[in-house]
Amino acid sequence: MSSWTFILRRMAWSVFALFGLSLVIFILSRVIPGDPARMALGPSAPEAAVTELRRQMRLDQPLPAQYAGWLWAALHGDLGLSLVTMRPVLTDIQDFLPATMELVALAALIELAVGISLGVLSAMYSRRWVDNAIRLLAYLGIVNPAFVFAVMFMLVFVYLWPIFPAVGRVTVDGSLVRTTGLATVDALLRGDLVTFWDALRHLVLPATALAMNGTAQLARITRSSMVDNLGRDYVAMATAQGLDRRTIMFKYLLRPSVIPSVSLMGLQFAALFGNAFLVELIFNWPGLSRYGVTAMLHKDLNAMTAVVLTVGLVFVLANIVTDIVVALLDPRIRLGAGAET
Amino acid sequence: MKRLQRNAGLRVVGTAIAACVLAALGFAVPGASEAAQPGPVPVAIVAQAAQAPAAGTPAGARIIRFTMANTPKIDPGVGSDGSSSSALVNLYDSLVFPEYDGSVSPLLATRWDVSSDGLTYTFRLRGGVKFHNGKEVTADDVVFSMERMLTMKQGYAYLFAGRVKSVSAPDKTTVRFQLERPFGPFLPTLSRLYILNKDQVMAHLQPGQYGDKQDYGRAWLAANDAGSGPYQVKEMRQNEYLLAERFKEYWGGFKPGNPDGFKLIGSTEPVMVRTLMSRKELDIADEYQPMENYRSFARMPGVEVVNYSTGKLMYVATNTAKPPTDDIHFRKALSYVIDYDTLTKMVFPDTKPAVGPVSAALPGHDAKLPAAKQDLEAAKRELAQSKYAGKLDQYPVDLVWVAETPDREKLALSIQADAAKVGIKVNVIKTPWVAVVEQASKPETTPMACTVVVSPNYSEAGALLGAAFHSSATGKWENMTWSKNAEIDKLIEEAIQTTDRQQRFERYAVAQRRIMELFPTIPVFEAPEKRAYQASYISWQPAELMKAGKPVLAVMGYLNYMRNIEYK
Repeated sequence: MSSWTFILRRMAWSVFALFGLSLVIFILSRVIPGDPARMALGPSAPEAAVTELRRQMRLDQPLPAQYAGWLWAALHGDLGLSLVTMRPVLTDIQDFLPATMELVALAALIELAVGISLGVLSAMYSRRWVDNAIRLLAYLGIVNPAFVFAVMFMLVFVYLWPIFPAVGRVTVDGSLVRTTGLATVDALLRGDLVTFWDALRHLVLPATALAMNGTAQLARITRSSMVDNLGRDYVAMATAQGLDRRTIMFKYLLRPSVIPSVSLMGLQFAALFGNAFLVELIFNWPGLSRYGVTAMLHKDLNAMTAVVLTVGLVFVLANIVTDIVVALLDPRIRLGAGAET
Repeated sequence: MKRLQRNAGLRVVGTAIAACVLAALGFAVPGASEAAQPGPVPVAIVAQAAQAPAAGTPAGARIIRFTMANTPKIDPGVGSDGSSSSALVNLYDSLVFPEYDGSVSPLLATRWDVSSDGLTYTFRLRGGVKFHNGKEVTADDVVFSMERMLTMKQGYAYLFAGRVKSVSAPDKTTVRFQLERPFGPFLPTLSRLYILNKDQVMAHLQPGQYGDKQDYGRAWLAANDAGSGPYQVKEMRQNEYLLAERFKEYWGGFKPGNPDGFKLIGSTEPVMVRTLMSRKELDIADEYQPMENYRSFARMPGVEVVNYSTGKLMYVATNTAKPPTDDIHFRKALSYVIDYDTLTKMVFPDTKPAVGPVSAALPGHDAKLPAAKQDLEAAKRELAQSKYAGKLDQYPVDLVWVAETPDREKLALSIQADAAKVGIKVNVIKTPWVAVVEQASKPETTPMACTVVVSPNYSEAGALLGAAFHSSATGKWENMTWSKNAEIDKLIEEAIQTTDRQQRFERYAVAQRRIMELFPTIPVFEAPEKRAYQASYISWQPAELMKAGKPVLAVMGYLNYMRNIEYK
């Protein structure tokens, strides 16, 4: 089986996974206590209005009929109306997803660059003070959730030592001209370097706070993987042939050692979406995670389902990309996968 | 070769470290932090430097930035929460305007007549008032706005549904409302009828459920306005903010210091709000901040914290359909054990013990009623008369507090401790808000006791009496008493149907006294709305009135009426 067939099969299975996910979230969202129509219209709304909204949302129908109706509409590109924003959910997703994508992408980049670099550094100076210091920092990164770093960064870099902007995506309201929805990319496309720089400065604190946990994990995994591989025969062979330590580390050891980190990154990417909620809240970042949690608190059924499916889709795609990257890094995995299937 | 490989490896690590250092230094953009230095800053500089000009507005434009719980629903037929109301009062005009002293004054209407039977209200409209698109406001627009609200049945429609029989426009400047039955507080409720530009709305219809009116302009009005108010929408960003700018041709004009626009930020995240206030990047903080933030605001140079009366009252709502709270003596005993002084001075500073069943801030409140007070001896006397005397251990009280309001756990625990002094066992139960609302729908699931704050829908005692004590409201969270007392219902109905204000207030007083005798629920304390603002460069009319010792009744949204804010 070729790599392409392997990827196509993975994608086909992903469709089933997303279908299952839609079914689970659809049922779960309807089990949570509370009447979504009443919550949307407020406690004082007349009962007739609440009943009418229930009817519009098909909540007066049996659950299988509700799901069938939703699925049919979803397959035709209609994810329903959000009860919080009173807009089509698809419009909301298009509006909020790019902000989170931009945040998560930079966080992932920071995780990869800083996490792997620190892991390599730690392995190179194994059991020396550099290694100990990095391991200690990694512990701190792992035990503290992203929102703790967000609050800390806000207090240090915005409140006490105000060198970063506090909230939002840009300083001047209305300076975002939407093309892709990614503030930095849109600014670059327009050749507007001032807005690009401004958008990047707004991104740094939330993205770094979000990346802290993953960076620490990647640093630890890269380190332990490299330290493990250091005991392999081929390393002993290279050492016996007189190659210096740095050549061994970067030429022969780094590539196989980062494979677990890259695999982890696939999972991390989806986790970043979940962790982004409090970070988005603290930095008033108009992203999908914040939208999703607001939807859950208001029992906005359509929005909840759509957000979970979107994150599921991102998760699936991230894992497919991860598989491809890992296969590129290690031909044994690619060939092994082909032989197995 | 080996040297090259070594250098490549070092470069990777070096680049990563350099990236971290750069990030930590915040790219050291020149001028990035000038406007953000903490500490006292001269007023003129603050007013200029702290303002980030909105796109399309002149540099140095003065924009008032304030936080609210969420981004507003700016469609007058949909929005009715605090955030939405704050936006609507600035984007739209109503026929009348609620003053801070509880009275109403003319706005779009210059005068009005009420028929002797209290069923017909006729308003004369101000001439020459323009909508934001330049079209003149006519009686037809008022008719359209009311009909739209009644058809959509959302937002503030509950104030008018079942009360307004018809609305007509005999001529271009006259509007006539025909009521189903007399409704005394009709004038104050009309401040919630925001007048839409009919032609503009009808020009933006999209497919929808309202027949020939399609979606009644809902999709378009979610991000645009069709009003004649002093401000107009510049940018609406869902889940982030609403940015509005002055409507320069506003018929009422502006004072020289009025802001050029406002930015309503839809987030109350405490760290963010505190940071923005300290950097003077936020001008008015919301009412949802934790106590430590208000203490911190009060210490910030130039920032003042004010407490506005809003007519909200904290109750321990008791279910009269369940033992032991079905017994009037038990309920009274429970009210006597509460330590109101400690609660209002220590636990909930700036609150006041309740005086009767409605807020003392509301016009129509009966000031002759005694304030709530702890009296353990009276509690014991009431318990002795209760049918549960001698068997209190068999009837513990489940006291529910709403999980999303952590401060209320302190209230519940305080009651639990005080109740134990007279032998009442209280089980404190934390329950999510959605579950409380669900439980309140049936007498058998409604908690025996539940801490709840009820807000008035309009600025009169009748609003709280109707919401918390009329039997038609049972099954909703505001009225968990299930008392269904015909006598109380009659007293409330008679009061709100009285068109003469003074007579209506006298009837409100009768109803309040009778409610305190029958005691279906326990009023605990008045809950003020706490706000912090940049007093060094802003003059905020309601705050100034309070400083002058005048009472201020903050009708939801109207505190943020921008024409009452001026830069010094």
